[in-house]
Amino acid sequence: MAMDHDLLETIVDASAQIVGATSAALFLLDRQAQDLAFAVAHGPAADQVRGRRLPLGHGIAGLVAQTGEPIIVADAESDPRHARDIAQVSGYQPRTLLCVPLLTGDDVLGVLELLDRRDGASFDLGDMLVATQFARVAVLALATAPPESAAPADLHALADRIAAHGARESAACEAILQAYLAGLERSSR
Amino acid sequence: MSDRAVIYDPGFAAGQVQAVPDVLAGEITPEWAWGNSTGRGVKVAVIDSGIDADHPAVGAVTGYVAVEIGPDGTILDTAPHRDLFGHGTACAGIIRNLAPECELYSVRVLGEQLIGRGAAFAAGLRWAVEAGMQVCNLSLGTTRAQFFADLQAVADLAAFRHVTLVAAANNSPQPSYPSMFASVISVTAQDTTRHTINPTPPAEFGAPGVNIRTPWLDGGWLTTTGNSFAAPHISGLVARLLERHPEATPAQVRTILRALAANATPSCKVSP
Repeated sequence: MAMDHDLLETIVDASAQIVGATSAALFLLDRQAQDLAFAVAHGPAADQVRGRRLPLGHGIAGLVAQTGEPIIVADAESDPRHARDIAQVSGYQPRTLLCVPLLTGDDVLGVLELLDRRDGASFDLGDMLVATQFARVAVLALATAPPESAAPADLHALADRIAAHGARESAACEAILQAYLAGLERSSR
Repeated sequence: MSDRAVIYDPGFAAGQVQAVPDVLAGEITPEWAWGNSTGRGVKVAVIDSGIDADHPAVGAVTGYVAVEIGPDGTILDTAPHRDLFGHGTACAGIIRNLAPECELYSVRVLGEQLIGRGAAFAAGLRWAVEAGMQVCNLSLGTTRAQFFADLQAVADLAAFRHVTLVAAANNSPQPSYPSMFASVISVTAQDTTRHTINPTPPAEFGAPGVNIRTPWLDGGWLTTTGNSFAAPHISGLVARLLERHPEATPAQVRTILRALAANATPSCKVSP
């Protein structure tokens, strides 16, 4: 899948900053292989998970990709949906997770996963809305975003969510600007 | 036009609760609406991934229907079945906790990975309406526009037959059906202990749905968050209400829920 990788990196990094996540990863769905590939990873276990693949439907990320529904996990250790094998491979066992789909039309392109809020709390519904808006912007960074994609509306919504969250971090603003410009450029082609 | 062209923002889930004037707030009381009722005898369908009747937090399931779409059409299997994921058991447990004597019916339309076919969903919902269920809990939905008409037809039938449909709003900011239909009570999760009213639907009510401890597969438990787990809270309340007021129509149920919302305030009166 063609993509603006640097922009995806920025978006993932910014989403982690805004919701206060220790780690973040973006997976892209390979429909033919029926699995997810790590496209971008930030955090303590980034090197261990980068390039790995995850079966569709497996673990929280696989389930979100399968259903298109976001999931908040308050206690990964006791959650039967959590894929412990991935944690074992990476050597990083998250305690809390937030995972949202990257959607275009009715299709899931991938998922954005955020791990472990730095304040130790579980992710909340406000975090989920912010992450969902970041996911929409991430879709703009993928070359498959349709020309009719509502880029300005998505970006405005994201800016509102960030403002409502009480933070305006430079990386997030940069990501918004870059995504906006990328979306405009793509739409004009 | 694709339904995705609409940016649907429930705008209600992140603590944006405000006081909402209501003409009946303060006039209708919880004691009148449901008092100490237990939902006794009220038929509640959980249209989901199945229900695990062996879980001690769920208990007896009165009836089962598993819906499949086969090559020759819809197959309705009324043999007892298990929950294929845990999601339906979680919803049933929340309803049972609020309305311990309601009659639960498991209408299984979702599979092992919590996905199902839109046609099976519509057929399962139709079965529930035609079988005389009084409340249908719909912690699921579809964003696919091709199912809009079928689901709308069943939602209309439910309204005409006085079956209350309670649906989880989509967790993603885009419209899903049937939660978007005006005749369906749409619910979002909130970090609250009582239900609330949203003055700007389509997400009409908020209900406890954050870090909810729910029963899960194999006798287990899961602490989870989402609109899926808020809708059963409303379904449980409706079951209790319908025990007290079995003739209440879905419109009257909605009116009562609105008046009893935590943020409903008596509408302004003319000052002397």
